[in-house]
Amino acid sequence: MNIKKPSFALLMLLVVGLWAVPSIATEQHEDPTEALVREIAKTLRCAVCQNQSIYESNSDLAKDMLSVIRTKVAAGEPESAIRDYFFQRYGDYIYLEPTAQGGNRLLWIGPFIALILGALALFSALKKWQPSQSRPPEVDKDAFRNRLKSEMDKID
Amino acid sequence: MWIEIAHFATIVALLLTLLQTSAPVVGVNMQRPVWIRVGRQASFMAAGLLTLAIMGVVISFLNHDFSVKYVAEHASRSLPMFYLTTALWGGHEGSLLFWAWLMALFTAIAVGWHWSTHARSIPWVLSILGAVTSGFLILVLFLSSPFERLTDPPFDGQDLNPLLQDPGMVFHPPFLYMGYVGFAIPFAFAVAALINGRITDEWILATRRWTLFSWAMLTTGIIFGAYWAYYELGWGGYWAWDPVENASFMPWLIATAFLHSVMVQERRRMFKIWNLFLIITTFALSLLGTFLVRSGVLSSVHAFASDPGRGVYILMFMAVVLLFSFGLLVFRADRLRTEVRLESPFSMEAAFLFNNLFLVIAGLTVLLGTLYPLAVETFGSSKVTVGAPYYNKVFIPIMLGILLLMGVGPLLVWRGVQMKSLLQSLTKPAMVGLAGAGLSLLVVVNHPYGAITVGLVLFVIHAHMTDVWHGIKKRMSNTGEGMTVALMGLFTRNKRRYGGFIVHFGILMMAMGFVGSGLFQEEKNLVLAQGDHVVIGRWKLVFEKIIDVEGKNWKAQEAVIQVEGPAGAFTLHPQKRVYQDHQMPTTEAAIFSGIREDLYVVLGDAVTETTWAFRIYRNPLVSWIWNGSGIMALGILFALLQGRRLSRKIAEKGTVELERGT
Amino acid sequence: MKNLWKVILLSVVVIILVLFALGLENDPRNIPSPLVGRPAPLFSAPALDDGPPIVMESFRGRWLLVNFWGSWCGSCVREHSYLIELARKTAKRNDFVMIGVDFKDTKEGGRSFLASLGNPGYRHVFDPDQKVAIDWGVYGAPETYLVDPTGIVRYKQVGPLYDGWFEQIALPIMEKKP
Repeated sequence: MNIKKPSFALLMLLVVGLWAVPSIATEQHEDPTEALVREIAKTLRCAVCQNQSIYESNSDLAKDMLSVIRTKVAAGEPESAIRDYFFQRYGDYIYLEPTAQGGNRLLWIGPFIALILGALALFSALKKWQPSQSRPPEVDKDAFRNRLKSEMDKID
Repeated sequence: MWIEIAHFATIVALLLTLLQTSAPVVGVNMQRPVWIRVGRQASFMAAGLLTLAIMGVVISFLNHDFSVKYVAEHASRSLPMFYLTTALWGGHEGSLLFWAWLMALFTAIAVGWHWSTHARSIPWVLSILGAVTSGFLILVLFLSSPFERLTDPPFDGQDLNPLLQDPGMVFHPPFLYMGYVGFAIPFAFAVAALINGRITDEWILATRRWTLFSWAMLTTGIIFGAYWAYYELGWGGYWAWDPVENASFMPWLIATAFLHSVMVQERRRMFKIWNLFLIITTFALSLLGTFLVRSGVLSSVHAFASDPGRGVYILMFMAVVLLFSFGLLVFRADRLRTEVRLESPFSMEAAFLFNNLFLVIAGLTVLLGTLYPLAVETFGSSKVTVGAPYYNKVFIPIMLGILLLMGVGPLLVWRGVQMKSLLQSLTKPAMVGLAGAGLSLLVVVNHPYGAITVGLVLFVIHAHMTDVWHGIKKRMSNTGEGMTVALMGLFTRNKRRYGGFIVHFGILMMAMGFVGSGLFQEEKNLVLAQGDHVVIGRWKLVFEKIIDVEGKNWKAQEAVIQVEGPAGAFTLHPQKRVYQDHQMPTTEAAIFSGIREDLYVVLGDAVTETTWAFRIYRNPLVSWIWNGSGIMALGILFALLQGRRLSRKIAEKGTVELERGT
Repeated sequence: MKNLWKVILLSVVVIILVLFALGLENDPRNIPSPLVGRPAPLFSAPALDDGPPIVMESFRGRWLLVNFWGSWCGSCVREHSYLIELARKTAKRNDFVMIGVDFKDTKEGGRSFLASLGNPGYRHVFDPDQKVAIDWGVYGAPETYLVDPTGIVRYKQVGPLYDGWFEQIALPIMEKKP
């Protein structure tokens, strides 16, 4: 039994090998770790490109960085650690999505503050612009004017 | 020979544009109309001479005159004729000349058209446009001349950048430039109105078509850029939020705001200062985009060296234009102030104001994201990147707000409806939208933004359809027309409004394309040997072989891939191309484009002798973006058909009908 | 209050123009390295001369100049004569040592580069897939790091070294920290 085991294994290997030859030439699946690689690589900037991610760039540096990510993902490192590895070496520059720290907060909340301030200003202006005495809109008064008005309103 | 003719023509054109700038000012101040006519003739002649200059450069390209530095750097003997012609705008120098030519041409057309109808504005329009054109011509002649000769001409040129040898890139710049330059005309009329200090709306009426036309060109140019990125760059996407892309998108956003708010001024004579601000900002952002792209302030490490002298000049030029026009606006504002009366917050006017708020904030967001890295680098000690993930998070919610307003718009009328009736008309579309959002969240869309977009798209469509339907019904009962005739009548009677509706419909289609391709893209990155097959979505791809193919000026390795899928069996041929005289290979993605999804295959590097890396994407609904933009173009064309005086005619007719008592 | 918008508008325009004016001076190549002030990444990597692998830790106790280069890089040619001179000048110092990292390169390429331009005499790491270069946060070539005797990165030079660089930049840093 003990002696037979290796030869049995060899035989199995041969069988599997024979079976595998056509199977290699048939359906291929993406490496399951590739999805994580992609997720990480798409958030990191190819350092020598203009706003392209490591995943999307064709430059040599990006390709080598991608293979570094692959090695690390294959070694089981978590996403945050891999992202941090690049951050430690290349700084803020490497993140396509700027962090929400320090001055960068302006970037994240600035537009929404401007939107709220603008809306408030607009509301107060609308109130100011309304004629003081709130007469009912003349719309319902006269059938003629009503129709003409709605026609006119469609125009332009 | 030809390049000297072009050079000489440009020099004379510069002198003429300087005359065009100064003569009308003299004419106005000394009450001598003859000088204004001199300015007009100068602008006509400058346009003619610059046309000659453009022809001279193009002929130098066609003659393979490699003693011309610009030709030697952007063409080669093997370059196909088509790209030889368009290589004119393949580099800085030629693009700037092209820009100046368009500027002179548009000036001449505008002056010819509006000469008699806008006598008061024309001198200033001539002068302002002349100043802008001469600013560009000085740049062309002294800092980035396409006319330079080489003392030792090479036998063959360095060829056009392979990435630019693509139809998408051929059409992208001219449309973009036509958009930028087109906005110079309303800008000039606006500044002329400010100088005149006359509170007339003449500039708005004069430039309505220019605005629509320029907006259409800018839109088309941006879409061509996206199309090019999708077909040529081979990364499966179409928009990267690159500073260069942002540079064209910012003026588009502000111009869109202008397009809407200008209607308020036409109808209600309000928001004059706001409209002046918007059009000046649109043109200013076009210049700013040029500065960003041409001066190299935002270029990345190891990018090709930029010329600091050129950057300094464009900056000074921009500073003069910006400070002059915004300064004028600020100092003349009080004189232009008019009383604003808004009867109701539930009115078209108010809706347009909120639309403007969102669009301007959207533009500011892009500006902030584009300039922030520059500011950090200049005032701080570090460098940051603001890339696509940022915009996807911050920009999209703002755009969703605009979509919401787009749906509310048609339910409102000028001067306002009562809240009760607004709520009534809102109910149905809102319910449809909510149901759609909920349903899509349950069935397919697993992203909140996606579900909201689907809901809003349904909401907007419903609101627009209701409006059209009411219009048709009213027409049918009034005139007894059939439905189709009534629909045609309704649309042709007010081409601008319904052209706008068609544009909205195109935007909705594009929005669906963004959701589909942005949230449902599936991609596989794998290594295939000959005979292997891959299944992605409903498609089965078999990698048959690699063959060598050859074009006029390139050689390529081409993968032959048999595809079986719902659309039948076909073959895809992704290539890895190497152009003559260029080291870097370019990827030519093979794309099967369908209504439901695109199949997008990119050939990567050889891994071993018999295996190759591939990237295979399934991009749902991408074709909706291109089709949607086509519908937008149709809508704009339809709106452009509207004559200038139409609204008044109809108004008069309405009054007559009223008096008759019908 | 009524004129507030005027002030805001004009100051925004001026701020953007000033930003551009100052921004024109920016050097796009100058990307500050977060490694400065922190321990240099360790490595034990194969050598270009096929000798024993080069180990980072073996340089402890001495100042270390790490020069990243490649035979594909034009500016490296310009810098090379200075490197030879610097190696010769500092050969007598026993507190200073230099190494090179030939990255993104072929062995033949790197060796013929040294053969034709002269070998400065120190050893070179051979890093064809940029493992070491990426570990050090390198963008392009040439880039040079100055590491102190305790293994902390003290300075990063992006772009070629120039005549007098050692005296102007390196020596003051080395003397500040006894």
